Amino acid sequence: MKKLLASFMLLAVLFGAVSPSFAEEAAPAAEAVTATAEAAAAAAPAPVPNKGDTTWMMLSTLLVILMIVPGLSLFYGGLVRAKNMLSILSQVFGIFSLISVLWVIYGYSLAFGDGGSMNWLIGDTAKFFLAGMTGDSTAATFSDGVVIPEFTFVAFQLTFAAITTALIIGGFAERIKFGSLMVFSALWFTFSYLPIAHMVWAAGGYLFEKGALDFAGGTVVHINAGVAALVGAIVIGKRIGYGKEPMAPHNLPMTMIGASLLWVGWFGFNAGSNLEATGGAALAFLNTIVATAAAALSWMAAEKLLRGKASMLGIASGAVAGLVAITPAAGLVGPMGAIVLGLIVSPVCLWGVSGLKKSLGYDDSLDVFGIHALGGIVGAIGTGIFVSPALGGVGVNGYEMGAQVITQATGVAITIVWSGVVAFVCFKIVDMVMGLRVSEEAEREGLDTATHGERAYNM
Amino acid sequence: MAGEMEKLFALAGRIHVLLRREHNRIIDVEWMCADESYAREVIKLARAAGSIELLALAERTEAIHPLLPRPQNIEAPIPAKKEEKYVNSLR
Repeated sequence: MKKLLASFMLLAVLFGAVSPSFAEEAAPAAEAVTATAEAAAAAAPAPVPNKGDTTWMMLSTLLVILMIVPGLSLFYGGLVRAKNMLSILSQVFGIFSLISVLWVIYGYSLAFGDGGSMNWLIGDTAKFFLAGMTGDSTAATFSDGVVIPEFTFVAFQLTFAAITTALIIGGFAERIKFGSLMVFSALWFTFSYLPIAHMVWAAGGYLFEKGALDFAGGTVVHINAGVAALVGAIVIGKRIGYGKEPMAPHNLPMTMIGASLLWVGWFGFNAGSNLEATGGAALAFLNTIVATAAAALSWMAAEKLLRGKASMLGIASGAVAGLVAITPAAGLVGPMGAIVLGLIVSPVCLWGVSGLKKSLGYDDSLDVFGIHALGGIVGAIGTGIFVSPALGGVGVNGYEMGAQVITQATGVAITIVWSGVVAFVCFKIVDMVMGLRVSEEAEREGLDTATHGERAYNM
Repeated sequence: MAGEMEKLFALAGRIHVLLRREHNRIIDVEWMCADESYAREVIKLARAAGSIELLALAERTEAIHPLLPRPQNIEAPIPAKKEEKYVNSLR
């Protein structure tokens, strides 16, 4: 009832503001209404987080952590040779821990603060060390008057920053120095992830204001990470023996477990990005199932047609490609649009990890570029198409397909250039200061013993 | 031929385990089956290790490895098909 009264008063005030002549004629009445509205506004309590939304967001945060620490670790770990298994687990664990700390020290403030004249690019320093934030602080959601605890929002966004940085390691797995990777991760997170996240997701950010759509991080997470991984693979160089000897994954069941954990965790990533437990989250949830399933099927079919056999790694890779593609579109397209996106993305990524990779000759060890960057591009452009209400999407204000696709392509291009340049500069700086690549001896021996002093398997 | 390759792989696996456990040396089993010069080196290493079991395994491996010359064989060894998968790409 209070809300209804306040809304009525607010409408009356707004009406008065846009109709000065009417307001002048009815000045005494308007003054009385304004006074009543101010009193009502003063009396209206600040919005309080809904317990269901808060629980959903904490659960979503946990799900994204599940994606990273066990999920991504096992997915990547199973794909490398046995002698490098622990290096992958250590790198993912180390990066998650590092970015978690950096995020609360300065990352959140720079990504989601108001940067004033620089707000198109980056936030501010007002919330460094989460200054002034308490359990009662709230963050806005997509619905007016609906909030969640700001600590929950900080934690949820933290996991996005961490997984993006961790994804990159697949591009140069089995040959990078651990310490150098940690320094690179801190630099790249600061100079690439934070500006891109701000430009895409924060009010006032350049791409946000242009109307670029990225529901859960197709550009911010996947294109951003995929391009950095490609740059890393090229700057660091190929593994010893690459192209001459087989480098078979040492444990595909582990990769399958990792892919499954990624899929489960991705529900937090996509449906959680709705920030509320509403129908929008339900749509993102369903899309995360069907797009993934369609992509797994299309990879399976493409592999069978082209190579004669549908491999387990192919099915898992298709699922990941589908998850990547639906990420920017999750809460924006209809389930049938999600299925089409899933069907399209796998053949593109299959070409990326085989034809494109062979023709360009780079050693992207775990195909981060081929799956995450290419899948992210398909998803970003596809979002501009399938968001159309005529194609079952939810639509956006003033939607026109051609213009939206151009906006999406602009977002993709900016992310590719920004991430690529920043990654190149960061890799070069780290290389000059401390070196990027382990010694030939260490690479042959394997990073588990050479870098970490332990073995994954003592059998 | 397929059975012979399985046998070779099993022997190479046993050499791998013994060299790792007793001499702290790691070999690549798949590469040993696919590459002649690498197989020669591993057999040399196994013979030099001073273990009766490794010596026996080295003899047996040399006898059935299709890429190594066998004087008792009249027919020329059929070269094993090189495994192309995982050489240039993961998937």
